[in-house]
Parts: sequence; C-alpha cells; structure tokens
Amino acid sequence: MSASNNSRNRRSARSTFALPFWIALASLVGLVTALLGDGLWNAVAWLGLGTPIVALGYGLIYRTG
Amino acid sequence: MQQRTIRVWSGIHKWTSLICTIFMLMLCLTGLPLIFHDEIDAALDTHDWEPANPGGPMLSLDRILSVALDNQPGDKPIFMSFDKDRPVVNVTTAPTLEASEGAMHFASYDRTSGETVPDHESSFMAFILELHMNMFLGLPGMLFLGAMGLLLFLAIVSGVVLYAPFMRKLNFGTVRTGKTRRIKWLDLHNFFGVITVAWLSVVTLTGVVNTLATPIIDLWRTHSLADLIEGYENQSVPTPEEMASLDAAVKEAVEAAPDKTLQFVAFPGGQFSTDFHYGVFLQGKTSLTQHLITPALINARTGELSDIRGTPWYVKSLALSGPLHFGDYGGLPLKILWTILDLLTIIVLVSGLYLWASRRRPVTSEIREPTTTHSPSLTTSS
Repeated sequence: MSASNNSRNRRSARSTFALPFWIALASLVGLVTALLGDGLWNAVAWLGLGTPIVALGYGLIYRTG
Repeated sequence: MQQRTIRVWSGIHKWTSLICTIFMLMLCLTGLPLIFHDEIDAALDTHDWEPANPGGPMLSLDRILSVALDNQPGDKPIFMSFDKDRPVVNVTTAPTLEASEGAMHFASYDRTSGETVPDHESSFMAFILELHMNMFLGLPGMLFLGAMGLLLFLAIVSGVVLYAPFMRKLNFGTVRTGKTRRIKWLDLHNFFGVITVAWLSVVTLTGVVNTLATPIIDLWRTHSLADLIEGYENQSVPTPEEMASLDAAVKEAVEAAPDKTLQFVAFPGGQFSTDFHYGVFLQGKTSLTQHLITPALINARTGELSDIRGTPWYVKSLALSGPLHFGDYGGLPLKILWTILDLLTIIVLVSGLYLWASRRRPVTSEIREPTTTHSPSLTTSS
C-alpha cells in the first residue's frame, strides 16, 4: 500500500484487494500445508493461517480511530 | 462499479445472508466445542477402564462379532472399527440393513475378554455434534444445512464484490470509531469479513461436501463397485453364519496393502460395501494419505480378495473435506486459530444482522461519491 493513497483518493480494485488477496493466499497455503505433513509443515500452516490474525491486530492497533 | 450493479450484488448479499445467518450462527456456536472434541472427550474420560487381561491374548474378531450379535439378537452386522490406543473393538449392528443411524446399536468390546466397554463419548458432545450435523432431522436436515452453506458461500462472494466500492476511499483495516456506531460496525464487518474470507470459504464448501456424504457414498457403491457384483445379482446378502472368517479377510486385506493400516470393516449389504463383500477399509500411514481410505473388497462367502481399489475423486474430496472442515489436522495451534476465526465469523454474522436491522437508506447511498463536498463521510445514517 503506497503512501500516496490518501483516504480521499479513489482506490483501484487492485489496490483495494492487494492485502486481502495475500492474506487469503497465505490462509489457503496454511490450510493445505497442515494436510501434507507434521512438524515443520504444521509450523508453516500456523504461520499461513495466522496471517488473518496478524492483520486483525494490525488493523485494530493502527487503523482504528 | 455501476450503481445498479452494486444494488444487484447488495440484494444478493442481503437475501442470501438473511436466510442462512441464523443457521450459520448455530453452526459457528456448536462448532466451537466440536473443534476441541478430542480434548473434551479426553478430559471427561475418567480413565478408569482397563482391559480385563492387559497383555493377554486377543480374542478373534469373529468371536467379538458373535458376542456382539448375541447381545443384540436378530441384528445384522454393519460396521466394525478399532480403537488405536487400546485393545477395543467397536461393533455397529442394526435390526435391518436399511436401518437409519438412529436405529443402529453401537457397542464397544474388550478384545482381551469380550466384555463390553463403557461408552466414553460424552452425551453432551454427541448432542452438539448431532445438532451441528443435521439438527436431529437426519438426512433431510443434513442436506438442508448443505443448502444453507451454499447460500453462505454466495453471501461470501457477494460480500467480496461489495468490499471494493465500500473500501474505495479507505485504507485496508480502517475502523472509523469517531463517527456513528453504524459506521464503526460497518467497518468491522468489512474488515473481519475480508480477512476471514479464505478460511470461511474453505470451511463452508467442505461443510457442504460433508453434508453430501450419504449421496456420495451411494454413488460410489452403485458406480465404482458395480462390476464386483456381476453374476451375484440373484444371491441374497450372506447371513453371519454364511460369512467366511472375518479375521482371515482382515489379514488378507492388510497383507495385500502393507503400506496401509486397518481402519474399519463394512459388512455386506451396508452402505459402505456391496451386498456380497466385506469392505475392509485401509488408510495410508503418512499425514496426507491417512485421510484417504482404500477399500479391500473380500467376497464374504468365500473369503477371497476380489479387489483393492482406490476411490474416485468425489470420495477423495469427501475424505479431505473432513479435516479441512474440522480443523483437527494440524495440532493445537491450528485448533486455536480455528477458534479465533470462528469467533470473528460470529462477529461478522451478528454485525451483518445489526447493519441490516439499522438500515435507513439503500446501500448505494452509503458509498455514493459525494457530489458537492469532498467530505470522506460516506453515510448519513446515524
């Protein structure tokens, strides 16, 4: 997300969906990885599916107000 | 996006959500304890059961089966499954082969003595599971919840489409707390909705597949196993007395697939086998293949192995839909993530209801570009 995107400018769909897309992709990778194996695979899965939670924390801390 | 397009998607989002929300709330709430099914059952288990003869010789499966049938006179065998961590065999019998699940009899037996083992599943969890699966309405209830799942998926898709115009002038994750309560909840609804979208889509679609378990298994039996019963059409389903040794059948199946382990046996005439075969179901030993089951089909009269065959794609999809829906396949951290995402979904559902109930104007008025002012304020409702 570039700094030039101030809140009064219209955003393109591409810019609107950039972060949601990466969060969704990381979630899907996490969901599939846990199926593939244990140990390291599970750790990757937790990171992947943990991405929405990280985004949640980011939004609530920095974007709320 | 055109105002009219937005109105159409908004209508789709509103109606699909309104119809399914109450059921989805029920599913999210009952799903919470189900995520920790294993932990809850383990905690409620009193651990006071021990095999009668620990380390002693195991009774044959044929012996256990005859004990089970003696305990339910007139019943026919349906399933036999095996506990992994203790010498216990679970036998399902039913008065008829067509009996519904509710009419079946389930009992666990100590393989070292043939005595019954007290039920260690909590009745509370069984109640929650039944409510979650079919609302005590059997197959129709299950299929109904599947239809509600499809509506939820439409609501998710339309929600993603509407996310663009709503967020046109907002940064990702923005929650405007300084304006009206409705704006705050609109932002939270959009934010929580968009970050949970992939997980919720997967859980929704795998849930829908799970509701189709009965038709999927029926399709598999009538299509994939059809060739095995050619020439047998006029024979009756073998009675337990007519069946060849179950132990020999299981041994044959396990030896024919050394890379797999025994999961359960489906008896002839039930849903998971033909009318004439033992279906000995084997599972892989790796993390991925343990979810995929492969049946060895053994002629129940002669004891001969007819075939071991992989299952078609739709049965594999059903098998993988289990873990992907339950979240029980990646350790406790995955279950905790499942819980948080479930709770976020509850907030999305409830805030969606609130946004609908507190609506004042058509949705397009909330995202219309102000023509006379540069104010970023998007809504006039308060």
